[in-house]
Amino acid sequence: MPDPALRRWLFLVLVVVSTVAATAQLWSVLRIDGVGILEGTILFLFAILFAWIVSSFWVACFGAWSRLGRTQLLPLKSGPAPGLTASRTAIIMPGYNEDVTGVFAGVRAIYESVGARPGFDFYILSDSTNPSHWVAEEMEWQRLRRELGDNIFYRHRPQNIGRKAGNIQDFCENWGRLYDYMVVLDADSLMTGDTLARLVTMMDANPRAGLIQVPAQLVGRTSLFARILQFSSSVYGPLYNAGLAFLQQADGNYWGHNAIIRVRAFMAHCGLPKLPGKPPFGGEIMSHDFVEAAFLRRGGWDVWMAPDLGGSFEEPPPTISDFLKRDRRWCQGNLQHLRIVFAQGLKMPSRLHLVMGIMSYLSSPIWLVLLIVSAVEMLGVKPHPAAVFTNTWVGGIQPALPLSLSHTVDLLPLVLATLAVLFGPKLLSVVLLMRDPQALRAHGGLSAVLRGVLGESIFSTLLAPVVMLQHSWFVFNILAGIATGWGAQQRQDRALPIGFVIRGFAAHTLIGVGAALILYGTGAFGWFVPLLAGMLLSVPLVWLTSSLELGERLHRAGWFLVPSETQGLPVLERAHTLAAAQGPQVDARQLVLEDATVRGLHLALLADTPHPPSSHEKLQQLLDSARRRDTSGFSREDWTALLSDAESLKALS
Amino acid sequence: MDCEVRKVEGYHEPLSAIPACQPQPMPAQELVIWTPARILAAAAFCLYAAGRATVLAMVPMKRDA
Repeated sequence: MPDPALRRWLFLVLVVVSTVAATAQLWSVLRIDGVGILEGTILFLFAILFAWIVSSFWVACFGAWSRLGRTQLLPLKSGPAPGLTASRTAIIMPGYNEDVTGVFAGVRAIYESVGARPGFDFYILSDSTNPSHWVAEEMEWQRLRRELGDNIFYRHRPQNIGRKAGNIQDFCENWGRLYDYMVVLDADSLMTGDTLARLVTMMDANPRAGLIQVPAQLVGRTSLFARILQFSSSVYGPLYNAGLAFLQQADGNYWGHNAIIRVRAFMAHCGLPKLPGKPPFGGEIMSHDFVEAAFLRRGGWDVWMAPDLGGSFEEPPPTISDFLKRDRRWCQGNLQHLRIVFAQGLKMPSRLHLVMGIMSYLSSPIWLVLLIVSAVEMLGVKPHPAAVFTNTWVGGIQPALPLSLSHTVDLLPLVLATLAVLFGPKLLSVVLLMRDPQALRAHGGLSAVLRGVLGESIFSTLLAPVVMLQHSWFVFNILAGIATGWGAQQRQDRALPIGFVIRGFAAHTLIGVGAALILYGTGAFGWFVPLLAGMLLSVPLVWLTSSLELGERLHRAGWFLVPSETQGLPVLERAHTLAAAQGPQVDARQLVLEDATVRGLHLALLADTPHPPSSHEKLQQLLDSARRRDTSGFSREDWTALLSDAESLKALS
Repeated sequence: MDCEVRKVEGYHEPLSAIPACQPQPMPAQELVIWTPARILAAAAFCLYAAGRATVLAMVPMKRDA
């Protein structure tokens, strides 16, 4: 299938045919008792959801097809040998109150992996508003420069204007012209020097390429939840990424980090407008990455995905709670795309990327409503004669049992089809892994992979209703106009206290109890058991999977193994070693007052960045307290005001 | 190139700080978005088309019955 358009049309036809077939099958069951508003609603919602899950299924099938046929997924010229390029690339690490130790350990590990390759500069672009983070970042940056080289730069913005997109825009406006390309990282991103060098040569050799996204493999955590995510990313990820790359070709997407971008193209086409109105649907564009990719495409630049390049990693959220917290922001950002998806001038594949992002969250309330309506339908069915006569798709008029008795036989093909759609890609992934003995060994061997897939499937089945409830709540809040901020993420492994989990997930449990009481004793109960189990077990599920000890134990027992655990990953190990050697982050604010050298560095950097002034009286009060070393009553704003005022700090000397 | 590397006297040694360039603004892109009424109209049309197509697809089955 050489023509991308043909692939996409085939994909569309397969999705539509599968959805129509499944919906017709359901209709053939529901119509026995007559199709009213309830049944019509069920059919409508079912069709949307089935189209959603079957599109993922067909993406996976295309991925398998391309893998088995050894299709070239990134048809770009490879360029000159890495190291021979004259291009200049900025590796940029935007951050906002991130864990300083972890961020700088990561930057250092990447820097060391890049080694002597020329043309790379590193920028730590801090938007930290926490004064302690701010000063600690300056000290760490200074140490890196002293120990590694003078091509590591640090910039602090006093205000987080435009969030991450604004941070990157600020970089582009001030220093973008110095560089041909920029590689955007996240605070927990890691990339190898080899991959970075290859990306640069590919951009050199393909002047139409505006962006190349390297899918990040999840690595580096020890909690059980994170290890399950890492396992599924490692086993299933290659299949889906191959399918996406096969279908989208130069109409790819941008996932916000671990991508190389042509700065000239980005600066010309990716200045983000503010949407009219107030948040959550108006204001700054929160999920900027999809929109930037769409703008690049609109500007005539190619956006590629490099599914097999490797050397691109990130750390997953450590717990379900952190995962959902991150989803709250992503949900708001993606739902905001409802306003952008119809914007003039965007290419159809870009619109589809936006729709897929929206559906990632909108599918949850649709599923919830479908379940509620289905339950009402099943509870409200009136008694019927033992058999009625109806027609089927192929068999003409045949006897059928009414809904009140049993439709297990009629629904069985539908249930099996749904299970195949949900679990088929997992099996396909295993089949592909079996064709690569080295990769299979890196996951602990076939039995470990099968065990892992089984465990992950049970886990994801239990988690699905919890996520559904949570996402539905997010969507409800956002539609009600309740916006959220874009705070720093929890990126450290941590076991959640049981009290915290109970407070966070009692509602899910209670909803499960309520639904079970309503459905118990009805014919519908059996169908809802997997969903009810997830809700009823939400507290132990969240609590146990946050456990580092359980994660480590299962690691030792050979569960959910991934190559970074069995074979090691130098850049990750280096980052972890550096972070561990640093110890916990200290409160660096006080050092500016007590240590003249830290203060000197802070003052030197302060001269580069104008900060909003504070009132003279207030500053004088703060200065007097600082002289007495009486800073215990300082608020964060007090610290920021004092640390932003060069004259006051000089007066301390 | 209108950028220069400023030397900043820092902690232990002179530190070459971030290069200072004349800022080059990134213009905000034009984004003509549909009005809610237009989106609703489009959604209503899609629903109608999907419903109509479904009904048409079912017609042979009804005739069989």
